Amino acid sequence: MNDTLMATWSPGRGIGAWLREVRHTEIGKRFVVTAFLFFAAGGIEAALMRLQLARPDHGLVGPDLYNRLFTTHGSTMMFLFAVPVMQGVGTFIVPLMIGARNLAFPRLSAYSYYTYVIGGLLLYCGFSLKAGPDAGWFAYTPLSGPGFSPGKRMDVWAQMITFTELSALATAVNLVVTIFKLRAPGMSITRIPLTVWAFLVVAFMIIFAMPSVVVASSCLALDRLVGTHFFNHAEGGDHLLWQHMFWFFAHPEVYIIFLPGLGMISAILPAFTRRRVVGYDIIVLATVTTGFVAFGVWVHHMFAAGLPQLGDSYFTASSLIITIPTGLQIFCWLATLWRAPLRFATPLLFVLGFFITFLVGGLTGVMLAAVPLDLQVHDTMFVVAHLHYVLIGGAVFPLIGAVYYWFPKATGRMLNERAGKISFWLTLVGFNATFFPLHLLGLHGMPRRVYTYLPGSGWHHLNLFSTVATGVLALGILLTFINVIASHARGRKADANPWQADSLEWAVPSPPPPYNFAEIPVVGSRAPLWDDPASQAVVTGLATDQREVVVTTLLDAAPDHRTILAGPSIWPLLAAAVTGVAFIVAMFTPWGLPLAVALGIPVMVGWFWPKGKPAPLHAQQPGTKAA
Amino acid sequence: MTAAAESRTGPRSIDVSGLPSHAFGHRAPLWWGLLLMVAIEATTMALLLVSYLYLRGNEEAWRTVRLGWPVLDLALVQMGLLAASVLPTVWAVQAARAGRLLATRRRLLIATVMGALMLAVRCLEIRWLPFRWDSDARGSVFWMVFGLHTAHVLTGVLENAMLLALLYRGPVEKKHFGDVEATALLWYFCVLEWVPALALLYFDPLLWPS
Repeated sequence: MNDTLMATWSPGRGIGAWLREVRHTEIGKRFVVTAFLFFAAGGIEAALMRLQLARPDHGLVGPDLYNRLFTTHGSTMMFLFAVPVMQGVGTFIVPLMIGARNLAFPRLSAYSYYTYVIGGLLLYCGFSLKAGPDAGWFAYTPLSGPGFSPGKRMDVWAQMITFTELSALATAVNLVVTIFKLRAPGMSITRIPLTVWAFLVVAFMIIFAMPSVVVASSCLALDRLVGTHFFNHAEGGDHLLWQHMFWFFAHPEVYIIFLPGLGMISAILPAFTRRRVVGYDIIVLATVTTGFVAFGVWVHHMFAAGLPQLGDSYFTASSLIITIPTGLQIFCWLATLWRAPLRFATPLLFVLGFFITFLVGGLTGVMLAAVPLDLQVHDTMFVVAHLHYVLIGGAVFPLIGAVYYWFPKATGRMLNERAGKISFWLTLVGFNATFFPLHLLGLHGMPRRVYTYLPGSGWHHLNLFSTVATGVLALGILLTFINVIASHARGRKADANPWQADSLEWAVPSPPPPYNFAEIPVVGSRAPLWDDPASQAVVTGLATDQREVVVTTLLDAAPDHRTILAGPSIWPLLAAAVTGVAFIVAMFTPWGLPLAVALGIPVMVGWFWPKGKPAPLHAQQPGTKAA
Repeated sequence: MTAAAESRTGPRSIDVSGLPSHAFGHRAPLWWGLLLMVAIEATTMALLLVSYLYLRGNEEAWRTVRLGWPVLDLALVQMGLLAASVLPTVWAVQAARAGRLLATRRRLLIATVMGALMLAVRCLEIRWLPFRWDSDARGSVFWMVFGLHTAHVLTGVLENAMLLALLYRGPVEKKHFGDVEATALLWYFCVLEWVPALALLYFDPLLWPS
């Protein structure tokens, strides 16, 4: 039977098959690898900025390049690394954790990946042609508008946003439907792994937050291209509209980036504490609450914009409230760790690193929620320190932990533990030594986004210290990169469940075969591999000569009907190429839009037109009942 | 759990071979996919309408241009066509659920023609609009809402046309009846979203003091 399954689900061989790939494991890995390449690029930009700031009046990087560096660094880390890498991990791990054979819309995930790559290439082509954006990753108008940013730099930024948001939205829809409808029978809503809950909440947040930045960047692009006046005060527009629309997206974005990190922690902890995470219900409810409240705090990014005081007070309150669900989760994890027989492997170390760094970031966040303090340190290095503690502490530490944790599943080989531990200590020490001094610099008044400072300012010692520490941080990250490359080639072979973990992804071989599960498991508990060895109950009666899967009901995950998932196709790549051409043409002329329609129709027809042998309409299939 | 699923072959194992090979409505993954896409587009439209209200507070110049004959009348004709097209769409979905191919495609054809007619009337309306997207901020946000809705309707009409081509030319599979229902979701949304948009863009200015 496995041979038939293999023949049915196998992607084929050769470059053509590589381009038609729709397996979620493969697309997920491509997402993660590509995102880490952009992470490296963003890191190099950061290192250049740190070198420039190492001493006063330094001439390494001029003001124009510095502007492009910090804009590209921020845009890369937010749009080309943090969100896509989480999309990639979700694409890879969610179907495995819920006992599915692929995502609900396999081709959409391929489209999502290619669109993302085009967006990333656009930004870096722009950067290398000296047409990279230079108005900050949040591109405030009027600086980013036609009056103060002539040329194509900000159009590159706006269109990069369109590509990456399109990609994120497509993945979000895919993940929600997969989690709703393709869970293994028996995985009722109270048995969904916490990691999957986190990805579900994030997917919903993407669906309601990302349209805001798409609208904003489209309005900006139109202001720049065809002379609309959305952000032009002289003709009735408003700069604050930009800030509202941008932050209505970008604050939820912070949670979109770090909730998956929290989900990863919930996956890693049971394996290394040998017990279930304490407070399943609390963590689920806290995650959902965070998802809602995250949409009600955006104005705390705009305290310095001169809004009515009542508004400021409301957003201070909501920003303080959001610490409650996050705090609840942290206490649940601490309870899980409390007096547990801990196994200090690299994934757990990175989770512990998360606690330390994220706590600092969270506490400065509480400080920044207070309007007087926010006004004092607004636009200073203090904010830079805060946001790096939150994002690196909240997302990157769990992410690297997750890389060590799931690498064996993805590749069939273990990462080197020794190198992992050294990498962890270098990263932890390097990170704190790089960013902690920035708090002090901010309190001393050093502004952010300024390419140099004067010798008498008294900031040079802390800046030099921070720059040197950046080297340690870079070394730590580099060691993990080398570890990944070396272990991929020569690492110790991993069996199906090297960490003796509890969730379904460890029930399949490492790396998973193209069909994931030879037999779809029937789930009877929250920790199926601990309570319920996988061999006991399975789904039978699925066709093996077609990509047939069982669709289950939303709440109880009772088997409902069967459906056939889409197989490999070249159309996602072609559709992404058409999207790319049309949007890039649209940077230069409004005719890009009609072009998108003209090119889009044949591609859509090609994508959706049924191919191959149709299932006969009227022939009764064995055992088929009326719907 | 369905009766078929309970016919077990092993300890607690589930035999699914007796389950149907397609389903309608919220049971089907595609329906959820379309629903979420509609959620994305609805959020986009809502944000644009909120932007309209936000910018409206700024703008003295808006008060000078009200929309009257023939723009307003043409807009009402479009709303009428949209609203009327809901009926054949609902009927097409009913026929699709019953698996009646002839009725499905006939009703879908009527709905699609009404959608196309609405687009034709909109082309007429464009010729009479008294301001452009670059006239002022009101023009910008007006045209943006207008453009987004036109894009939605165009997508709906093209999707229906593709589905019709499939239903007329074949080979028709059972799952295509489910597609009729999923596509109908997008069409209902095109109609619904235009109600608040029409009220804001066309009728709200009539209430302003002159």
